[in-house]
Amino acid sequence: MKNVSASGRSRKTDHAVGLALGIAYVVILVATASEIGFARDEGFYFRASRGYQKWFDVLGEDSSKALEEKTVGRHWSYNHEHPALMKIAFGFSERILHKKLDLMSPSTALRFPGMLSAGLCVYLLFLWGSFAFGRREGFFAAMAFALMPRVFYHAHLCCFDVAMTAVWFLVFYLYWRSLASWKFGLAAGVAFGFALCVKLNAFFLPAVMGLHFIVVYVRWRRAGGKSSGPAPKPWAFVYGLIFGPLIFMAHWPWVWFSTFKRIGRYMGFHSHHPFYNTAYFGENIVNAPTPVSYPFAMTLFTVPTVIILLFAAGSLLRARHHFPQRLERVVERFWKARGPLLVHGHDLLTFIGVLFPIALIALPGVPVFGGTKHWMPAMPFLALLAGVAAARLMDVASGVFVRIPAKVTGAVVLMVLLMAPLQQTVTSHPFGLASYVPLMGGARGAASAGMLRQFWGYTTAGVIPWLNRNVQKGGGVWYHDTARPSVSMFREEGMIRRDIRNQLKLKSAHYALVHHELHMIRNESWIWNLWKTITPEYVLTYQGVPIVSVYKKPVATPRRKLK
Amino acid sequence: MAQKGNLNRIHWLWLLVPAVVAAEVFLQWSIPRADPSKEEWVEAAQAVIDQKQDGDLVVIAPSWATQGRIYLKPVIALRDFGRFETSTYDRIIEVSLNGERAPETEGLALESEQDIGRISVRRYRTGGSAKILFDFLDQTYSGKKGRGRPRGTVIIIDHWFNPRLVVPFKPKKTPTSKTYKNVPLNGVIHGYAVIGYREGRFNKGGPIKLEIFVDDEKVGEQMINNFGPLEPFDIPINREGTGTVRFQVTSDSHFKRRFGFAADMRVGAPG
Repeated sequence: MKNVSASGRSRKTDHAVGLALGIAYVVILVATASEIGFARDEGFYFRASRGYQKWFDVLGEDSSKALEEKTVGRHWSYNHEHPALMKIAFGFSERILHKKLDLMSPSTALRFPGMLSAGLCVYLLFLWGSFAFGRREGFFAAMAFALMPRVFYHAHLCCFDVAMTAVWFLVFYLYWRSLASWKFGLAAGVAFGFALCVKLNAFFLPAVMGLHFIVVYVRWRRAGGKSSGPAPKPWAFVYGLIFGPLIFMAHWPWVWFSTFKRIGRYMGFHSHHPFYNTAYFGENIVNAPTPVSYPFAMTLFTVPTVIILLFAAGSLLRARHHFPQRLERVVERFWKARGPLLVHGHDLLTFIGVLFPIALIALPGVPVFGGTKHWMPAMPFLALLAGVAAARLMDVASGVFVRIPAKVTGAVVLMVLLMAPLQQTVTSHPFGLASYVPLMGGARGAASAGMLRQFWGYTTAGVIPWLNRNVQKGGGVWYHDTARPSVSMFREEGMIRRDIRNQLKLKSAHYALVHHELHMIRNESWIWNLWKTITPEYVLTYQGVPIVSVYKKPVATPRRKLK
Repeated sequence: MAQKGNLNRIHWLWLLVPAVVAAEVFLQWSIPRADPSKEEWVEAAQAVIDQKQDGDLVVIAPSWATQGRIYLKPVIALRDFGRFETSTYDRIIEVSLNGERAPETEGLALESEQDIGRISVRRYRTGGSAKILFDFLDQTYSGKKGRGRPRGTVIIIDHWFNPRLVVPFKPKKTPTSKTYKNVPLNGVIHGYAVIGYREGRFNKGGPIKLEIFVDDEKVGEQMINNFGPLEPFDIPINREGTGTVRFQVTSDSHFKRRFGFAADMRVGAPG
């Protein structure tokens, strides 16, 4: 493989354009971050990140003390259900970007590494798309991914899901390139090590890659072995085996002591993870078996339909290379021109990239509480295949409007195709988790169908201006599903009035929030019973659908004093 | 690259893509515009208040539009909110958004309709309501009634996430009971018993038994299972005069579950 992309142009330009797209995305994320409230899990990661930084302080002052088991245990035990890499990055980001340089608020600085990983994913998508197909494909894929409303929401957070998506995609890309180059094999091995440090999903990578490698190798042998071309190289596995465990162990002081026991605890947490509530067509899913259709349907309902349509077309375009001849002739009538044939099972890899994360969540024993975030690693591949169809559509349009220069036609087609995803992303912000495609009626249609409106209690930010105006001095608010550290961040950043107390007991609160989810009506009933009212004072809505209700404790009628 | 001359009929399928884009953009623009304005809500609420009489039920369609409760506060009582059925209401006033229908009004005869922007206020006649001789909910603690819930009753959420106003119990192995005196006996005891929702993984425990006694004579019982169907019980008494009615609850395998019943002595329409 030469150092030119499928379009035949310089790879340096591809890197430059990809980087520009990635940076632009990060800038937009930073600019819009303050509008998204702090999600439940973010609160825990804020706390963990800051706690881990204290260990680095000790390390700077007295390294031998920092390496003692007691010190490591004290600083690294919290939130040990996830590896530490991203939390270390969050912490250093706050230390540098907020405390030292004062460039960002604490929360934005903590969230920044997550945003960077989203930017990395956009950059990689352009790069991969350009390398494998052409710049038009790469550009559309990068934009389609960036403009998925749910991806846009998660890309803001101090969480691991977008980082996992980026690093998962990176490992796939490097693995594919490694089939022809040991250098990429080395890079893939190192990237795999970092992936293990982000989230548990990375443990599936060797199996997925291994399956792909076997198929590619068998195909190569059947095609005549060496006479058909160079053999696919297994370097990624060799280096992954070396660097994977090494980097994982090195990055996480918590597993330096009682190693097997602690790694067992980390894995055990996920293998026994409880099923949190999620709503699906009016049913509250909180137990196995979960519906097999869930991740497929939710992908259809939350990814802009034009992207889904183009993904389907792009999949057919690529899959036709593998069809039996007669079937291909039928498809050929539809598609006409053939795209560049790619070596080393590229199509298979992209199909695996789309299907594996979704199929894994579709297993009836796997919890589905994460909405769409748990199969987000499928989205870059979905966007990549959509890019293939988008480029084909540009060709078709150029064939129709022959008098207009092809570049102009292509640009217009791109703009038209990205119009709907852009509109959905802009209008759903900051209610990303309540976003559903307009063809299912948007949030209103989803509410009527009994779908999940949110989780994590992140929408509190939307009612804070109302609380600041209406809560009496020193009043207490019961924040329902918003975690304590997340509420603390609202206070720390001065978003919520400092005198407003975070009341953990409903009984003692003056105001109470309800984050609307199907099962949360039970918490709402506590308010109805205790405060004897079913009427909220204020309701925050998205597309007219209630997201957060604020109740006010009725003023008690003073009892008449007995004479 | 496809040339103009090469385009075949199937190529025109690509037009589907811009058509989907157009539909998506238009719908995304129009969906938030289906939300009624504050003025429409206020006017609709006034229309409801103007026609609401005792014995009328006010419902919002779709049921998720809970912001409507802010405007309809004077006409939606907690007592009605936690109802099991609509048979005790003479009329139903439906506040409908964008033409939606409430399940309670399915098949009922429309009496009147008023359109206020994106809201329609419709009134239906239920076709005759049951005559209640004695409501155990209202009489749980010396019959204190009002807009709030009657004393001693609570709203619990059933397995299907509906609010139900009930007389609450914490089931145990030993019987716990509620007794009502001076109950007119010339009718049918009609009611429901429900187990409150707990997250599925905590939903353990055996069935709960509700027994009903009239003057210490057992007249009926109902077994209620986790996630069992919501079915009314009807126990004909049809005796002269008044008597004492006792509801007794037990569970052999009790777990931390909320349980409750709502019942009345009635003549006429069952549930």
